[in-house]
Amino acid sequence: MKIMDANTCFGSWPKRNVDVSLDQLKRIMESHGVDRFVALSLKGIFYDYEEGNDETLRQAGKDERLIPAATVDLRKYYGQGGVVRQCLEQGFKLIRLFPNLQGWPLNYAPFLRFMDEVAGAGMPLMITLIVQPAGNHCLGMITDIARLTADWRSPVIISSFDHFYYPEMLAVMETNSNIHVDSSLFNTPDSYRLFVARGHAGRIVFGSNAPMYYFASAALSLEKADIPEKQKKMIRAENLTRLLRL
Amino acid sequence: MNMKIIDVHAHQGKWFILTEQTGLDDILAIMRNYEIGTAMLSSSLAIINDPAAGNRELALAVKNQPSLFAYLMLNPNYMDLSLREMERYLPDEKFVGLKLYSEGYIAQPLDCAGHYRFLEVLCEKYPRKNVVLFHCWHQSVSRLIALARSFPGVKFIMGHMGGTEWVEAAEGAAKSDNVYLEISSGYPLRPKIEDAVRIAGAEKILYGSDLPLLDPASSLGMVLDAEISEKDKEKILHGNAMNVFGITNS
Repeated sequence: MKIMDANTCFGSWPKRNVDVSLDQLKRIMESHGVDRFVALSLKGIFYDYEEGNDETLRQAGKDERLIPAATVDLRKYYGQGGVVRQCLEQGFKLIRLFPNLQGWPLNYAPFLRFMDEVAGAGMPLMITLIVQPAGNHCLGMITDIARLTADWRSPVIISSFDHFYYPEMLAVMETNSNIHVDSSLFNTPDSYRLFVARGHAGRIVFGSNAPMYYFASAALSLEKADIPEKQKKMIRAENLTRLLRL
Repeated sequence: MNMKIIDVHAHQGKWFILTEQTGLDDILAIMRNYEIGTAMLSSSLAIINDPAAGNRELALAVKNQPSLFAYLMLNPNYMDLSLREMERYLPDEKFVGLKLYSEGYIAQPLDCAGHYRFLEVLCEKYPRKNVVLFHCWHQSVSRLIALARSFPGVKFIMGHMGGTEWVEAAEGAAKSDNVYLEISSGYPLRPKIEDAVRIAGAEKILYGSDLPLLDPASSLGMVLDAEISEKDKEKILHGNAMNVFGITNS
C-alpha cells in the first residue's frame, strides 16, 4: 500500500516545545510506512525563505523520499520577479504559503503580485490555513483564493482547514476545478464521505502535518473513512503523484 | 489492545457545522467503527440552544442503550430550570454527572456563581453523581483548578485538556487530586499526550472523542502514536474511566 504525505515540515518550531527535527520527521514517516513525503524547512517560514529553501533542497538531495516544497515569505516580497521560476528550476515541486502564520492578509499587494508570478509559471501552489489553532477562523479566505485563481490551470491545494471551512470549500470546489484539498484536518466522522460523495475523490491529497501533529490521527481518519478502497488509494498517493507530476 | 474504549466526552444531536452523521444510529456506528464500548453523552441542543429540550431528548436517546450514558447539561443563565433539571434527571441511573460550559456558549465564566450553586447542590443531594465534565479552553484552565479546590468531593474532568494550554492544564491536574484531563481535540498537536503523562501522570488522563462533532480518529491517533507505555495507553483509553465513574463491567 503506497502512502504519500503532502504536508510535512522539519526544523525548529519557536512557539512551543516540540521536536520537529528532520530525524523525528523521518522516524514518523518510517514507522507509518510512508513512501514519500512533501517537506519544507521551517526556517523558510520563520527566518529566511531563501536559506530555508536551500536547506530543504539539501536534505532532498540526501534522501529521495523527501519531495522538496519551497516557500516564499511575502513579508519580504514586493514583486521581484523570477522567484517562482527559480524554484522550478531548482527542482521544487510545490510552493507553499502561510498567510495566517506570518500574519498577512489575502488582500495584500505582495500576495496579489506573487499570485501572478505563480500563475505565469504554472507551478502547483499550497496555501495553509491553520498550523497551530489560535483565535477565530478566517472564513472567506478560501473564497478569496478561489476568486484569484479561477482561471488557473495549475493546481491550488488548500491545506490544514478544519470543519468550520467545509461549506466554503465544497462551494468553491463546485466552481473551481483547479482547487484541491489536503486532509490533515479532516476531523469530523464524515469528512471524507462529504467530499467524496460530491465527486471530489480525485482532488484530495493525504496530509498529516507531521511532526507538528500526531501522524496516526490523520492516518486513522482515512483508514476508517466510509468510502470505497479505490478512492482511499487515490487519496493515499495517486492524486499527489498526478498533481506534482512525480 | 484487547479492551473496549470508554469515551467520556461525546454528544447527542446536531451542531452548527456541516456534518451529516448526528443521529443515534450514526453515533452507535461510529462507536463500533472505533471499538468504543461505552460513551458518556451530553446534548448539543442543550448546550447551544435549549437545555430543557436537549436534556429531555438525551434522556430518551440513552434509555435503552446499554453502551450509552448521559451528562446533565445545566445553563447558569436559567437557575430555577437547572435546579429542577437536577431533581428530575440525576436520580436516573443513566445520568452519571454534569456537563458544564463557560465563555462563548453561555456568556458566563467557568467559575460563575451559578456553577458554584450547581456544585453545592450536587454535593448535598447527589454525591454519587459527583463527576463534572467542564468544557475548558485557554483562560478557563486556572478557573477550573481554583473551583476544584472548593469542591474536593467532586471529580472534575477538564474537557479538551485546556486546548492549546495543555501544559498549564497538566500542571494544574498534577496539583489537584480531583482534576482529570480529557484529551479530545480536532487539532492533534504533538506532544500533548507525552507532556500530560509526564506532568500529571497517566492516571489523570481520560479518553474523549467529542463525537459526532469530531472524528474519534483525532484523539485516538494521539494516544496510539504517543511515545508512552502500552500500560499507560490502556489506562487512558479504558482503565481510568472505570475508576472515575465506578464502572465495574465494560
